[in-house]
Amino acid sequence: MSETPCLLLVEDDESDVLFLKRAFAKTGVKIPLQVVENGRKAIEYLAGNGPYWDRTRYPAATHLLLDLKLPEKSGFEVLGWIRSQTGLKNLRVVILTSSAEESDIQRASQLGVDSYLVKPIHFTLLLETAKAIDEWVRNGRAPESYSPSQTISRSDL
Amino acid sequence: MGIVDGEAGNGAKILAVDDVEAKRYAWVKILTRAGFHVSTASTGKEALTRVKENPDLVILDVRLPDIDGLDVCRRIKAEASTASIPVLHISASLITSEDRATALEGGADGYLTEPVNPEELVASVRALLRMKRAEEEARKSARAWQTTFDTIQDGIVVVDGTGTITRCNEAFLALTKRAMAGLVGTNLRRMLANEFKLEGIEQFDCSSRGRERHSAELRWGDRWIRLTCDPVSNGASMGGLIFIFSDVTVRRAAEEEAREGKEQLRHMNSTLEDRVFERTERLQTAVRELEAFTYTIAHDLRAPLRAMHRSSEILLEEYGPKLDGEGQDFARRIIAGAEKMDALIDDLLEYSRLAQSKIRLQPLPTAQVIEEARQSLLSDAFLRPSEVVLDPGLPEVIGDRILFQQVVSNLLSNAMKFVQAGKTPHIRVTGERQGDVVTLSVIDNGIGIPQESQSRVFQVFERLENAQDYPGTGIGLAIVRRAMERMGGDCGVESEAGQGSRFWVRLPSAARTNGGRS
Repeated sequence: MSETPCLLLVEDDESDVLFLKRAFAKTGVKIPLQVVENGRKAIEYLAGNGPYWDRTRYPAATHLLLDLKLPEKSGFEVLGWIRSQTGLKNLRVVILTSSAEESDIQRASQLGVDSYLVKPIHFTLLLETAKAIDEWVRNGRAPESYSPSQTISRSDL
Repeated sequence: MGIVDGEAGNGAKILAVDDVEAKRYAWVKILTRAGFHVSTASTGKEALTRVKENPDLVILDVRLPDIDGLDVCRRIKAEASTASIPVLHISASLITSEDRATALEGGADGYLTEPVNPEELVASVRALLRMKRAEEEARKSARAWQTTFDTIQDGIVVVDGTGTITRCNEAFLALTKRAMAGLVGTNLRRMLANEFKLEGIEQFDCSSRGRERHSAELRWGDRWIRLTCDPVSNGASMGGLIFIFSDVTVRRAAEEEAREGKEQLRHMNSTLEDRVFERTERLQTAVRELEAFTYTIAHDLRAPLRAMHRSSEILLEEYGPKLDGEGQDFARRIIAGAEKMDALIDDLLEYSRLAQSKIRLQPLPTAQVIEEARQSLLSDAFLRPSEVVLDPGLPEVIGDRILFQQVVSNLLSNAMKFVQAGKTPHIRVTGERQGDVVTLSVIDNGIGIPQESQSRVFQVFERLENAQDYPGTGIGLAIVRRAMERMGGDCGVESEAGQGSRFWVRLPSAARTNGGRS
């Protein structure tokens, strides 16, 4: 089972789910994708509780694409829970969020994520993100993390 | 004979009265020799006249031709102005002891029978004068004592061995609002306890058993009284007691005030730490709330922006052929609007982060940081291709690397943006060190800033130019100013409309900490 990759996307914004799916389709990414819309459901899915006991319908996730600001349970709560589960030692996690806050980046890094990505506003950039995620799930090469030095803002008068 | 020397007459004046001239002569002779001034009178009438000259003593013959000597004596003693003058009677021999008693009852102070021995006379005169002086002294000191007694502000009461008031002064009368007559003879303790409700008076032993000073402060109505009780030593035996009532209300009030002040101060000191802690806590809560707010903005405002932007991109990309030129223009406007708002959120977050972010001041390689900032701007499509020249040997400064790069980046991008259409931006960066301070300038050939607007450019959301012609959020220079403030520097602008601008920033020189290298 663990050999079959499965990406679980935890995302409450419907549009973001739609765009990512479209980006996957556009770039020909064919990795199995499951979606839950809040932190509580993410934990249920990973634990195989409730409706998620059925692993034929809901295959066990090998990779997790996690938003931080989520209803019911935040991304950090989910991440904390994952780290307490010995059965999820091999679960790979990438953060995909709109927060570029230094504190979030640090905290995620301390909780041992593969990468920290900031959601791009451009769809064309999202296509790049989709390719990087495909590379990560299929070949294990983690996408390059967002770095604060990229924040030099386009400020002006 | 000892009458000549020894105690002299001290110049005391003596009036000698006798009808026999020989005797008068003898008295004058004896007394003058003893040092007295002597005047004489031969009749009772004359004696009564001369006694008004106020002699110190009168020697008076009992038998006088006109008025009887005893009668003269009685009149002298009856008259207030002469009553204190001692009278020494001299009578003939064979006088009865009855006569002697009569004379003394009439007020005579001494009595001698003839023949009078001169020494006895002088001794008697001296004894009577001594008595007179002693009496005068006693009267004087009694007067002085009473005056003093009444002048004292504290109430003073003297009681006898049974606790009964024998004397008190004016101040005590004022304190009790009583007349002397109503107090003398009263038992002091009973009166104070029953009539004046003086709490604590029972601790004072008002009988003569108390042999030591006892003192206490007692409440007397709305006043405070310090009551001191001292035993009066009456030679070997203990006579009565002296009670002193001092009004200490004012002092007590002052002490009370001081104590309250001290207590309050102590309390304030002990709670100061708590209050500082509490305020810090509240401030930290406020900061946390602000951070949470900022965080929410970052997440929640961006989601709909992404939807707008990406949807418009897909619309143009995949449905573009189905739209005419105007339709495509509207889609592009959605994209431009979303991008503008994204930049705005970026800058607002950056601006609010500036207040809280930790900074690390260190010597910075000025030229290198500026070059990095310039490189980071190359990919920005909104900026015109520009020529940027750095003066050689820009002095190093002390600052936070990230903040300083942000400052430089904002200044450079401004210089690249605000240039008349069709003109290539020429930007020169210069540096000058004056003592411990380095001034860096970014000089451009842009549109310039009118004099009257220069003070506004560093404020948030101040945009001087039409947003249609020049892109921007209006926060860039506010970020520059805040970043400079955080690094302990400052910034400013010199410009003229149409003549380009010189934006300058000032920071501490790194040369100072590098051992004075210039």
